[in-house]
Amino acid sequence: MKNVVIILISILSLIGCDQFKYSPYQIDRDSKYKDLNEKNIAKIQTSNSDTTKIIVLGDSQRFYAHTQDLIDKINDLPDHAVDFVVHTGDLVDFGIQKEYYGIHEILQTIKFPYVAVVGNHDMIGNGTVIFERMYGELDFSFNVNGNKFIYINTNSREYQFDDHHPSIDWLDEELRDTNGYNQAIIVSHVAPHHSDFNKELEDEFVETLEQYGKTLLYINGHNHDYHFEDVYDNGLMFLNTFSTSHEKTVLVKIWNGGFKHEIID
Amino acid sequence: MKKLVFILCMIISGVLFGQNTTGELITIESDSIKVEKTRFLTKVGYALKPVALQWQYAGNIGMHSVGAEWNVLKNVLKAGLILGYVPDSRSIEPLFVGTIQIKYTSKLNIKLREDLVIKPLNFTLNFSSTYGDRFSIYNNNEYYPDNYYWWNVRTRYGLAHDLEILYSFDRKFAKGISFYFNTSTWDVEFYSVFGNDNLELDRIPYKRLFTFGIGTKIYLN
Repeated sequence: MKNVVIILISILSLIGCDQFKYSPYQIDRDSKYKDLNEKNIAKIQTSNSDTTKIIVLGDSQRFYAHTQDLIDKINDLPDHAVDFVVHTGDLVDFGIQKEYYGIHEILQTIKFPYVAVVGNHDMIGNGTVIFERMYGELDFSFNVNGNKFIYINTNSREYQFDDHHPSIDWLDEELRDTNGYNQAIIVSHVAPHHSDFNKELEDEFVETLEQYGKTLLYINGHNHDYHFEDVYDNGLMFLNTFSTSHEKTVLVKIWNGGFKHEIID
Repeated sequence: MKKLVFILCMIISGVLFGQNTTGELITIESDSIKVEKTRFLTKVGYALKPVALQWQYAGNIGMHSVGAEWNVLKNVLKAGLILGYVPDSRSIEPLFVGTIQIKYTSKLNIKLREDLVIKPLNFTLNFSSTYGDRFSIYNNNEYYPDNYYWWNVRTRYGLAHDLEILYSFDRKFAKGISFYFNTSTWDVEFYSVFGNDNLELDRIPYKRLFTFGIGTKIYLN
């Protein structure tokens, strides 16, 4: 009987451990990780050079081992070769918190800070709230060396193609203050020419990108493979990066008025 | 929601019908058709009578879940219906989870005392459905093409093991009470970990694969 009591007490003491889950879709009362984008933006250290260097990766989903191998390649780059890493969304596959924790614990081993935009897979079930609690807002921007990086949620299908996603009003506000930045780099998961973008909003969205004449580059993911093209024949280049399963990434060097990119594999 | 009501009706009717297994009604019926009908209802009632009622904390089927289990084959194979609840403090809004269970219980018992045994080999297949639009919408062809999300978002499949300690007694309604420790693994977590073609053994996050729960069962007479 004494042994039984010991077993029962041991089991009860285990309740305090985080292995007791109520649902795959549950959200912890206190997220283990918070405000990651804000914290990582604060860590971006620009070198004295007027060139901003970013690594663009995305669609890590459940490719943990591939992502780790890709990170090993990125970490082999010299310390000043990169200012920060852009993650183009779909951090996770199923939108569950265990996945979010797992992929962040891998991505945080990159020696450069990473800043992520939300992808459609990140929003499944309770995923949107988990993303907000871990990474912060879905639409946000920050400046590096006069480059305004505008991260915008373009996952229209997840909102049943309503009129507000992407928020063109918000994008317009971000681009309108042209004195506050030299050029804009837009980051989203779904590109406006993709079928998962609200077709009713596509023309207005692209017009807004062009309107102030300061949008240099559009970076996105979702297609899992590399594409680089002038989709609308208006000079605005769209760069779709690899999913991490390819163990390849793109290094983009941006200076005032131009940029160039190369594939790292 | 209709499914939940059906499950609850099954459980309630099982408990109600199940109590009447002595055949008392047969003796007061003179008409043979009525006797046959009553026998049939008695058999149905017996079949619907649960062999145990259970409450569980955690284990991915709700923060708290309650339900019943029925004998399918010689008390080795059983079926269970469980309704679980996750409060809004752990979700955007409360989650309701309905779970159908197929249970295998080994006859192997470790006897501690005449009335106290450990049942070390209990295995359960869980088919769990989470209710709410934000889980069912992904399979709605109005918004998503076929297999846009290749898995069914609201339905989860799991395999569980219970380590159970059973105290037996003899009362009118119950013949024993047990406590168990539940360890389960679920399809999304399993696939999330093993869905890598270059995964190596030393990189597997084993901890992520398992979820714990505890529970108690009352075995009915």
